[in-house]
Amino acid sequence: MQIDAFYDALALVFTVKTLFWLVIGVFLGVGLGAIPGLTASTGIALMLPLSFTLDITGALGLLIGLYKGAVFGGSISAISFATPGAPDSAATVYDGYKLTKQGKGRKAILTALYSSVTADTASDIVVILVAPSIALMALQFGPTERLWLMVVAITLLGTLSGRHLAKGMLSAGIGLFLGTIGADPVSNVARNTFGQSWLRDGIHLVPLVIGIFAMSQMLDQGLDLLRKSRKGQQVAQSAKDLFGTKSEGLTFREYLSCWREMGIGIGVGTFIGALPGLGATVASFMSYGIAKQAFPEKKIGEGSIHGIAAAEAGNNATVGPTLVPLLAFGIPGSATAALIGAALILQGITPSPRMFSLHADVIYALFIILILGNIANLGIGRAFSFLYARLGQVPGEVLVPIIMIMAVIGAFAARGDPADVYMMLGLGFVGFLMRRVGIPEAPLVITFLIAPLLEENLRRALLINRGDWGGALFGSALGIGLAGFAVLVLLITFKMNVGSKLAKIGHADEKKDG
Amino acid sequence: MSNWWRSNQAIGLYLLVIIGALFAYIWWQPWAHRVMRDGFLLGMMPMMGVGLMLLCAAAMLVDPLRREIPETLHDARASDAWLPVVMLGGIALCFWAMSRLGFVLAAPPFLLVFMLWFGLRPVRLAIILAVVVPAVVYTFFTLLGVRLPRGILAGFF
Repeated sequence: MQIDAFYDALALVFTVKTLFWLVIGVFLGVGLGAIPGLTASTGIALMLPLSFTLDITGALGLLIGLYKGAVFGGSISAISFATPGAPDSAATVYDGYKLTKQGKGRKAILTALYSSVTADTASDIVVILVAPSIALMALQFGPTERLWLMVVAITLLGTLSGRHLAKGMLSAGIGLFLGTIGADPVSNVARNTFGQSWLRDGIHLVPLVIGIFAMSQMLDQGLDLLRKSRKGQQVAQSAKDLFGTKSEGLTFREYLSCWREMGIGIGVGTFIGALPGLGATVASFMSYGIAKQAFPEKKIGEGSIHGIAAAEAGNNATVGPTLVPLLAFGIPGSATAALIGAALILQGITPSPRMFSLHADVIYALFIILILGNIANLGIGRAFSFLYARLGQVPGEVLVPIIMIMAVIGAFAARGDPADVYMMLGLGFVGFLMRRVGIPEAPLVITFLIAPLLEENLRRALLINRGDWGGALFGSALGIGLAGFAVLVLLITFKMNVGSKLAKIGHADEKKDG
Repeated sequence: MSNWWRSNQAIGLYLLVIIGALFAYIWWQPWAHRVMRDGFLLGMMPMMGVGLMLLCAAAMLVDPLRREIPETLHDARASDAWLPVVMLGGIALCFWAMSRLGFVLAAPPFLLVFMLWFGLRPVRLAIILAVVVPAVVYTFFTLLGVRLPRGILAGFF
C-alpha cells in the first residue's frame, strides 16, 4: 500500500465539496431508484455531463453515491406499491409487499436498508482487498493478452445480457461499429464518417449514453403513457400509513437473525457483480432462490424479512464488485461501470491496471468513497424513506417530459455543441428500437468504450510480431487460453441456453407466487 | 404466418438487409482498403463491427429462438413507429427554440404540450408545473455553474 497516496486520498475525499456531492448523489439516487421506470444507468447518464464540471473526487462521489442510492431505492417502491423501482428489486416485492399489507411496511423498508448497506459494505471490502492484486497480475499482460481479455469481456456481456445470444452479440457489434466512427486511434486518420465533417471527432460518449439509456427509456415510457398501458400495480394506499409511528420497526435481534440470508446475498452478489454481463437482477433472484431453498422454515415468500434480506443483500453486493474489471483491467463489466469509467475518462484518467501506480490517490479515494457512500445511504435511507415512498407516486405524465428536457440539457452541456443534442436524439431512437426488439443496450455501450483499446492492442500486437497475425493473436499461452475461454463461453451459452435460463429465474418465481 | 413479421426471424431478415447495405457501402469506400504504415487496413475494425452484426442477424434467421416474438412486439402497432419520431421531433424543435429564445422561454411550452399530450389533468396543474419546473431547473443548473441557453433574454441575466 502506498501510504502517501492514501493520505492524499484522505485529503481529497474529506473536503466539504466531495462529501457534499456524495450526499447529493445518494439523495438523488435513492429518489431515482424509488421511481418505477428510472434506473441507476439513466441517472448516471444524465449526471455524467454535470460530473465533468466537478473535480475527480466530487465526480466519483456524485456518481457512486447515485449508484448506491439507486440500487437501494428500488426496494422502496417494491415494498410500498409492489412495483419494483428497477428490475434488481423485483425479488423484494414477494416478501416486501406482503409485509406492507400486514401493516409492517416500516419493518420491511428497514430490513431492506440494513441488508443493503451491510452487503454493500462487505462487498466493497472484498473489492478493496482483491482489486489491487488483480491489477498487479494484469500489469504482466501484453497487448495479445489484453486483446483477448477484451474479447472475453465482450463475449460474456453479449451472451449473458438477456436471453437471446444473437441479440446480445448484435448489440456488441453495433457498439464496435459506432466506436470506429471518426478517426483511427493510432494514426488519427479519418474514417467511417459518412462524408460528414462533424463526425471527424467520432461520436461523443455523453450523447451516446444519454440517448441509449435515458432518452430511449423516455420514448418507451411516453409511448406507454399514450397507449395508457401502464404495467404493474398501482396500490391506492396512503404512503403515510406505511411509516406512521404505529408501524412496527425492526429490532436489532431481527436484523441479526437475517445473517445467513445476508451472507448468501454477499457471496452470490460479490461473485456475480465481478463477472461482466450478469448484473444485480440475476444476483438478487439467485440469492433469494438459494435462501428460500436452504431455509424453508423461514417461510420466505410469505411475508418474511429473511426474503427481503436475501434479495436486497444480493443486489447491493454487486455494486462494488462491478467495478473490479474496470479497475483491474480497464474493461467495464456493466453499463454502470462503463459510465463511471466514462466519468474517469472525462476527467483525464484512463481506466487501466496502471491506475494503481499512476493515480494511486484516485484509486484510494474511490475506495474511501465506496465505504462512505454506504454510510450516507444508511443515513439518508433512514431519514427519508417516507418521502421517497411518496416520490414513487409521481405520475409519468409529469416525469417523462421533465427527464426529456434534462436529457437535452445534459447532451448540450457536455461540449456546448448542438450536434450532440441531435446525435443524442438519433441514438435515443436507435435505443428505443433496440428495446422494442429485445436487443440489450449494455453490450453496445461497453463495446463502444473499449473499441479503440481493442484496435490499439491488436495493432500493437501486430507491430511486435512484425505483421504476423498468428503470432499476434496466438503468440502466448495465456492469449490462447483466453481465446479458448471466449469460444467455450459462446458454445456453452448456445448449447445450454444459459441466457434464457438466467432470464427465467425471475419469471419462474413470479409465476409460482402468482 | 400473420405474426411472422414480428418474429425474431423476421427481425433478423430486416437487419440482414439493412446491415448488408451498410457493409456494401463501407466496402466501396476508398478509405476501407487503405493500408496504414503499420500494415493495418483502415477499414478493418469498422468492417469487423459490421461483420459481427451481419453474422448475428443471420444467426437470428436460424437459431432456436427464431420463431419467438419479442414480448414488446406482441401488441405492436404502426403508431409505435411514428409516435416516437413525433416525440423526437418535438424535442428537437424545443432545442432549436431554446437556442434562439433561451431555456426559460422554450421549456415551458414544451413541457405543457407534452404533459397534456401524455394525459396530465387538470390543465391548470400542467400549466403550473410547466412554469415552475423550468424555473427550478434553471436555478439548479445556474447554481452548479452549468450555463443554459439564454437566447433573447441574455441581456436580462
